[in-house]
Formats: sequence, C-alpha cells, structure tokens
Amino acid sequence: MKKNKKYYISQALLITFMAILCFLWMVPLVYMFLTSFRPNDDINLNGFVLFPKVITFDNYISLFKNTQSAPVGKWLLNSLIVSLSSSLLTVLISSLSAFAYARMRFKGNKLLFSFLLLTMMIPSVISLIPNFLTIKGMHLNETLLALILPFLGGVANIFLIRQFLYGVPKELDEAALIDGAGYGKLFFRIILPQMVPILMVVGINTFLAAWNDLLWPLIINQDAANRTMTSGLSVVQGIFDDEKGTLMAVTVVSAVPVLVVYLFVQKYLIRGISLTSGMKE
Amino acid sequence: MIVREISTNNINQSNKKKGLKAFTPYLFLLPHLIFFAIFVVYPFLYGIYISFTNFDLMNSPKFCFFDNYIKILTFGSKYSKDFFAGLLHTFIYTVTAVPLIVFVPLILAVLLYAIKNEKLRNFFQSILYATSILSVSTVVLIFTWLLDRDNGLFNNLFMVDINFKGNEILTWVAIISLTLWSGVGGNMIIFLSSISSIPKSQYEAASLDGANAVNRFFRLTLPSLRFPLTFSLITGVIGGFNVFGQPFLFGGKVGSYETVMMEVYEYAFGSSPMAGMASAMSVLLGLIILAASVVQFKLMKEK
Amino acid sequence: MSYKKIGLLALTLFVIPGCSFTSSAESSEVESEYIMNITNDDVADFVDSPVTIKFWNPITGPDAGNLQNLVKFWNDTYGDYIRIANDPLAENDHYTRIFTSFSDNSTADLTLIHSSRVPVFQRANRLRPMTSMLSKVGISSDQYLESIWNANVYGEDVYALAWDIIPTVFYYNRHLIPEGYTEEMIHSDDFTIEDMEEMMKLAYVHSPVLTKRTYGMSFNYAFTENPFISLLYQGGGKPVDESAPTVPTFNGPEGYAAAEALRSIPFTSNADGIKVTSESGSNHLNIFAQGRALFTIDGLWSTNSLVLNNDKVDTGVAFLPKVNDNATRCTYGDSHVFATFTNKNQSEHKDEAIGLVIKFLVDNSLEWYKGGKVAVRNADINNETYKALPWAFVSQKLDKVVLPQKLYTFSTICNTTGEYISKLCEGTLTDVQDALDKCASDAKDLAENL
Repeated sequence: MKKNKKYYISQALLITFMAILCFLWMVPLVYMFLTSFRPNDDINLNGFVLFPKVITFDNYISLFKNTQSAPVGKWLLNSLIVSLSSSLLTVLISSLSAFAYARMRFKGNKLLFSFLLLTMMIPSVISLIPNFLTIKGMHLNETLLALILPFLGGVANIFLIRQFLYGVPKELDEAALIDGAGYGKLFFRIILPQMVPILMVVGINTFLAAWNDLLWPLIINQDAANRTMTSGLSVVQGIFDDEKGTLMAVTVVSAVPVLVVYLFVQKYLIRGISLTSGMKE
Repeated sequence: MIVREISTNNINQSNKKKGLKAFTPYLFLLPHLIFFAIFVVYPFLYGIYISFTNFDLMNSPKFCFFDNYIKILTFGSKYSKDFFAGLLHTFIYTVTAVPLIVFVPLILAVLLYAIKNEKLRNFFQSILYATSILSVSTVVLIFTWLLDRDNGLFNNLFMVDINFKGNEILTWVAIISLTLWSGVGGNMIIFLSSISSIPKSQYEAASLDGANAVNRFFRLTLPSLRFPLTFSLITGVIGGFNVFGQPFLFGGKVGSYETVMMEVYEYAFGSSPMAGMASAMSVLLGLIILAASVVQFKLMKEK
Repeated sequence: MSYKKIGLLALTLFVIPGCSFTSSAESSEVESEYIMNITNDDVADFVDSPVTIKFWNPITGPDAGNLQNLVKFWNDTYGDYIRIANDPLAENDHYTRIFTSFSDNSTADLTLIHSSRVPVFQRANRLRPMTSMLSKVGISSDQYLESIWNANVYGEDVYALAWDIIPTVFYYNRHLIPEGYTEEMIHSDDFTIEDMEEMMKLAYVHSPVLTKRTYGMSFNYAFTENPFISLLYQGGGKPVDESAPTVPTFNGPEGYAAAEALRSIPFTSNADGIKVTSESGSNHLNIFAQGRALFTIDGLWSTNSLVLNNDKVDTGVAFLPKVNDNATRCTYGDSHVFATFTNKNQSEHKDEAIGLVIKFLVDNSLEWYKGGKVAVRNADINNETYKALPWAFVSQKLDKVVLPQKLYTFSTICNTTGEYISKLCEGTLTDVQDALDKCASDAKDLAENL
C-alpha cells in the first residue's frame, strides 16, 4: 500500500494525541512525588507550590522511624506475601479441581459442578460478617493466613480453567494413561504445562485482586503490623491528615516499588492479560 | 457464557484397580471443596441466619424474625433512609462508571491499534496500563491530594475554586475519574489484543469493498470483541455493585457518597454495631445483584 | 538497560532499604525530662517475665506528638521490662477496632476512649473495674475533681480514669480583630453569636489583611455535633432525658435556637458577602493556621496546629459564643479516659504493669495537657506551667463546662446530630425544625437498638 500524505498526517495527529494523554496520565504521580519532598509546615502555611522551594527528606525519614503506627516496609512485605501466595495457591487449587471436573469420571461430577456454578451467583457481601466470625473463631485474625484462606474457595477461576481444558486435546490423557502414568503424573507433567496461558490469567487476576482488597484486611487485621499496603494506607489517611508531605511519602513508598517491578515485567504482564481476549465462550 | 456439554471420557475403563481410582478424583477436588464449604457455603447460610437476629458483636444474638427487614423497608426509618440512599449511590456509580470503564478502553484500543509504529504503540500502552497496578488506596490518596480544594494541583493550575467534596455530583465525577485513571488499562490491553488478532486480510478486503474506518469498526472490529466486551461488562457490573474503596477513601459531604457496601461496613463494624441489620442489608443487596445477573444472562442469551 | 530503568532502579534501591530496616532507626528527639515516680523495685517483677502493653488510642491529630513523647520516654527507661506498644487510629477506625475485637476477646490491654462511650461498654459488661489497679499505684479520688472522677464510677467501682477534659472551643486570630473590639469582649459572658458575626463583617470590610481567599470564619462542617450540643446546653436544653433514655430531646425550642444560630453563621455572613468556609473538602485548620480566617470552632485538642510558631497567626482561645442573650455561656466537653476491656490476655501480672503505665502517664499529665487538654487533677490545675497555657482559664470556669450525661444512649444520640446540622449549615436542608425532628427520629431508631 502506498503511504500518502494523509497517512502521515493522521499518524502524527494520533501520536501527538496519545503523547499528550500519556503526559497527563503521569501528572498525578509527579505531583505526589513533588509533594512528598515538601516539609509539612511549609505545606500547611504556604499552601500550593508546584515545584517545592525547600526540599527535604524528613518525610521519608520520619516515616521510616515510625514503626509503631505506620510500618510501611512491613505493609509492603505483607501485601507481597499475601498476593503472591493467594495467587499461587489459587492457581494450584483451582487447576486441580478444574482438571477433575473436566477430565475425570466420578459420581456426581455434573451435579457438583452445577452447584458450584450456582454459588457463583451469591454476592460475597453476605459472607462478610460470617467469615469475619469464622476467622476469629479459628484464631487466625492478625495473621496473614486470614487474608489468604477465605479467597481459596472461589469458583470463577475453576470455571475459566475448566473451559480452557476443553481446548486441550484429550489424546494427551489417553496416551499418558496407557503408558501407565497415574492421574497425578498426568496432571503435573502433561496437563499443567498446557494450561500455562490460562493459569497466567488466573494468577495475575488473583494477584491484583488480593493486592487491591481493602474491606477484608481492614476489618480482620487491626494491628498496625498486620495490615497490608492497601488497608494500611487507608488508616494512614486519618493518622497523617495534617501532614500531607508525610502522607504523600507513604503513597510514594506504596507506588514506586510496584511501578519499578512493573517496568521489568510489563512485557509478561501485558502478554498475560491479553490472553484473556483469547478465551472463548 | 454457555456451559458446554461434557462428553464424559472413557479413560477409566482401562484401569484395573477401580477401588483406588474411584477415589482419585475426590483427592483432586478436596482442597478446593474444603475452602468452598468453610468460606462460601457456610457463611452464606450463616449470613442469612444473622440477618434474622439482633446480633451486635457485643452481646449474644437473639432471634428476631423479620424485624431487621421490616425496619429497612419501613419508609422513613433511619435504616431505610441509609439503605436506599446507599442503593441510589451504588446505582449512580454502576450506570456511569461501568459503561465508561468499557468504552473508554475500547476507544483507546482502537486509537492505539491505528498507530503503525509498534514501539510507540507499546510505549503508550505500558504507560496507560501502569496506573492499573496501583492499589485503590494509593490511587485515592493521590487524587485526594490532586483535587484538594486549597492545595491541590487542579484548582491552583486552572485558577478555579472547585470543591470536589462539597457537591454530590462533583464528588462522583472525581470518584469516577480516579476509577478510570486506574481502571482503563486492563480492558484496553484485552481489547487491543483482540483487535490485533483480526486477520489483516479481512481489513484489506473491507477496504477494497469501500468501507471507511467507521464502517470497518462496526462490521469487523466490534463483532470480534463480543467476548471481551461481555466479559468486562459482567465483571464491571459486579464490581460496580460492590464498590467500596473509592468512595470510602475519597469521602465527601455526609449523605452524598455512601454506597450500600459502606452502609454494610458502617452498620456491621461502625461506632454502634448492628451486625444483624448489616446482614439484612447485605442479603437485600445480594438479591438485587442476583436479579441484575439474571437480567444480564437473559439479555446475552438472546443475542 | 536504558538510563530510565537504571534511574528508577536507583530510586527503588533508595526507598526499599529505608523501609526494610526501619526498626533499627530510633528517634532521639525528646528534649524534656519527665517525672518518673516508678522505681526499679516496682518493675522488679518484670525483669524475668517482661510484658508488652498493647495501647490503643484515638490520638492521631495535632496532639499525637505529645503522647508519642511520653511513650518513648517510658520505653527508653523501662521498655525492656514493660513495653508500651502505642497503636493509634483515627477515631472511627479506633471504635471499629474495639467492636470487632469483642468477638474473640482480643481487645488491647489498655485503651483510651471517650467518656461519653463508657456507659455503652459498661452496660455490655465489656469493661473491667479499675478500682484495685488504681489504688495499688496510689491513684485515688481525692486527687481528682469530684465531678470528673464520679462520672466514671458505677456502684462502688471505677470503670475508667479520666485523663483530661476536651471542650469544644472558639479560636480567634488576634491579627484580624477589627477596630472597636478587644479580646476582653470576646471573653465576656455576654458575647453572642450575633456579636461574632458583627465582628466578621467589620473585619472583612475594614481589614486590609483579608483578601480574596480569606474568610470570616473557617467553619468545620464535618464537626458540628459538639458545637450544637454546646449551644443546646447554653439555652438550657439537653440532648436526652434520663427518664426516657431512648427518646432524644434536642428537637425542642432550645435545640431549634441552637441549630438556627449555627446555621446563621454561614448564611447571614454569606449574605453580607463575607465568606465562611470550609465546606467538607477544605481543611479549616489549615486555613486558620495560614492566617486566612478570623475565627474557627474546633476541639481544644487541635491547639497544636493552631498555635503554630509562625507570624501568620496569633491565636486566642475562648468559650463558644452564646446562642442568644438569654443563654448562659458554656461549652460541652467530653474527656479521654483510660479503660481496660475484658480480654483473653488479661492477667494479674499484666494488670500490675498496666497500673504502672497509667501512673506514669497520669504523673506526666502536663505534657499531655500541652497538646490542648484541660486538667482534671487538683495538682495540675495549680501548676504554674499549666496556668501559663492559653486555655488554663477554662479550669477557673469549670462550672461552665458540661460533661457528657452518664447514659448508654448519650453518645449515639449526640453523634446523629452531626449529619443533620452539617446539612443545615451547608444548605442541603432548609427547614430547621423538620431537620431536627427527622434527626430525632433517626436517633430514636438507633437508640432503641442499643
């Protein structure tokens, strides 16, 4: 196709538009960053300044000293542990279960799975108070397990993986079983590698959901040291209400590590997410 | 989503140790079923039970039949006002934010796809997605400060005096903006990848037929996005009904931003707890979500 | 790797180690020495079996520093034996945490709550009497103001120990007082809301200091319940009557007068072209501290951010102006109290430590009062340092400070008023009597459920 003048102009316009949009997209982050280096008194007394005249690291220093009410390092670690383990456990448990529903013959397969599908309709909000009491009854509150276990009973991921498995040829199973492999070997050696794309989707979604969860960690883990970054930030909003510089420093600490990790894994992450589009009804 | 008919396989037949083998599937199911029973089935039943009691987290619960429901549905009572105000705000959020969270990414994906330089396209894509990995608290804190009436960038840069927390509509504009800022990325990537998977030849054929860009979009692009669109619509609606973090953290004028989830939280764990009442509210919300799901399901089946 | 990536990596390397090794960094900023009446003999029991006292409190505002200083001093001295784990949360989160911890009895060892909340917890049998714990460390009723000590006595037992009184007060900026007015006038028993509005008008018209983004008053729309209750008491009303605790009484004529007076502050003034801020969304303390407002109404606990050492504002503190000429000038004041909830970790060993911690904190009340509190111990009221504080005059007029009613419905009923009064002041609601009646019906609904 010959590229004419019109083509170049429209490309230039498009690129300019996207460039402006991306610039605006970053402005909130920049403002957060700049504010985090302003002294709190300066903010309270002088109000808005775009580029800070006085730059200080005090907000960060006082933050790192404050291990009592805002141990942000601990929060970051908690969030990471919770999100990673939720993600891995969900992938393992759901794929085991989905494999059984899709490939194994047992009494009540259809019935059980229909029941599972039915419970997908139950909104999670009804379970909030009972789950709270259950976890408290198990004495798991104020532990990270409290933030992981309640989400392992989810059904949606099993459904997704099971659907995906119908696209994996059954001949694989038969060949393996005839060779004398057990179901365990079949699952881990042969089926699991085939499921990588859908497991990435499930893993990423679970990771982000756990990372983002606010309500549950807010009520179940009340000690400062046991909060996640998300629930911790929410209480910090009240604690540092008069210290906006410190508040923005906490926000920076919550955002920068994630953004840096993103910088390195974005290729895989974006590829993983775009796999969702490959899923069929 | 249509559940495909299962054609049960006959792998088991080759197996001789039937007794042990019959047990194997349940081993695969067990880990999930344990958590499923404890954290999905049991709490559902127990939650409904609590809604019929006067449980308050402090004293032991007493059964009170439909008292909580009657109180919520008695027009003019505090509970009914709170519940229906919450419902209204939840609806406002769902009907405005959900379409935006689907269509803004769609437009962005189409625009990005039109950029021929792959490096630039990927660069733009990763910047627009970057904000999606920030947690909801981070995002709300950033926007609260950005839109702060006295010291925020927005008011000072544009030399205006807009109070995003002093007016119901502005509060929701702010909440929806920050939801978009942190939410368009994921859908955009999914849509973009769907569009990219449409064979180039189809586009060229359409162009030869004389179809212009708009025509091509409706004839080719949109149909190929049927699954991702319904997927993001469904997840969007469920998320919309459960919205909690954004309004809870952003705040606003009393009575102008509370959603049902916030009322449930407030009644269950707030300054004078009434877990029974909160459970009744969540059961009612559950019924509404259920109705919405059924309607969506029906609509999709028709198509 | 591009430069961009290296730069960002460097940034993370700077941020992350800071987070991970925070516990090793110890602050060294405590200047003043505190009273330590506790000797090594007292803590001898804890040398072999040290304890940690979980201390929950709602102190996150401008006064948080004062408490942190005290806790740090204690931990530096006896932290190896008895460590205070100070864990503050904003007020709402604080009470949420208390309620959610009941179901498994995991409440903190020591908790600071508001006096108005004590009846609720006492009635639900969640509070432990502190009588013996206090007498063991020599804290007794004769050291305290009678009314405040008795406020937390049920039957024979003390259920909470008051640390302070925290009245709602009226702050003024001396720089902006208009000609013809003096500080004495603001403090006089006859100073009314109308006088205050008159001052705002004059200041706005005449003062060269007041410009575009300045205000007659930086009004806190999010904090209206306490001013309303204060004005209600001024006119002789009461939020609730002891004879029928679930029926609010704030919607009578006294309540009407109080709500109407509060509402008039933004309305009359705005009609005169004087801006009254802030709506929810603006930080009223910030505006006042920047010298951009003549008045503000807030709790005494906000003193630290209002009496900042800067040349932009010279803050004075007074009682709330009275609602009308016939009223008496007085103010409502809650108080912070130490309380011990029943919990699964309680033991006599721990109680002994809690007693010592309370004794230390109470002995050093002066540091606490500096953050904007009114003294409750006889010894402190006559202390010279305390007398020099700008709000020490409150201690001379304690009969004008109304304490919370000792009723389990009191805090719930008072808390409902905030929403409606705020809406009246913002103009979302316009019919005062109707709003008060609706509010009373809400309050009744909630109170009946208690």
